[in-house]
Amino acid sequence: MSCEYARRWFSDSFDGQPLPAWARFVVWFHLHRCPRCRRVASSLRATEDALAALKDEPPPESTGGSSGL
Amino acid sequence: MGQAQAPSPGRSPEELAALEPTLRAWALRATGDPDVARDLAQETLAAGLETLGRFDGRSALRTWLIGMLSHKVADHFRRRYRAPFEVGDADAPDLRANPTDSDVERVVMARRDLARVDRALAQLPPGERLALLLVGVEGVDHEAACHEMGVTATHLRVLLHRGRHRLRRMLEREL
Repeated sequence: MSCEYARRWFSDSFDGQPLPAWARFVVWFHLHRCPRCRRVASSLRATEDALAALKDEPPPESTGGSSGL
Repeated sequence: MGQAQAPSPGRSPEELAALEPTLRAWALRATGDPDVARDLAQETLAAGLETLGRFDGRSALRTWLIGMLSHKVADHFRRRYRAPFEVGDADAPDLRANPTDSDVERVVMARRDLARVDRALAQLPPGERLALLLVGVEGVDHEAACHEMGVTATHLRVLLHRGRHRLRRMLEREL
């Protein structure tokens, strides 16, 4: 499994989307062997925690007015 | 002899109106525009008052209203931008990028500096931002998020994983 492919699966696992057993095993195996992907997974988990922490946090009055486009 | 039905908690118009600041804040985070956020929050409240009798209490009132609001945000993006939820290949560098230990530490620290997270979120394409707000922040399930955004389950998954990796990269770097 390539790193890019494995990283697509990480995201699904964050919002309670059950991964098929084979996918869980393949991702686990990949993470076991790939320190770079382990760091990406840690970073994504921290990103997800930071996002969840926004729920009860009022946004700044202006977020810069960016539409993102 | 029928018993009088007790009013369900969280259903009064006053309780609904009390959520206006929450709705406005949510819309501001989603659109980045205070005027648009105010308008969308008020439209949502009006729609909520009109349909309050249909609120079945299966979800919290806040969740019910945010679902309605996100539908309006999605409509706003569709009116304003051509193909706002389109996904291209622009995320590939984010998906492939490998963080260093200090990059990961920066993301961990972002939880203490939520203004940074807000700034990064504001830089995302609108579809990715809305998907992350619904699923990552509000904890809405995929089925409901697809319904509110008017996208397929596959499309939502792509928006979420691209948005997450893009946000991760922004938080790893100093904004």
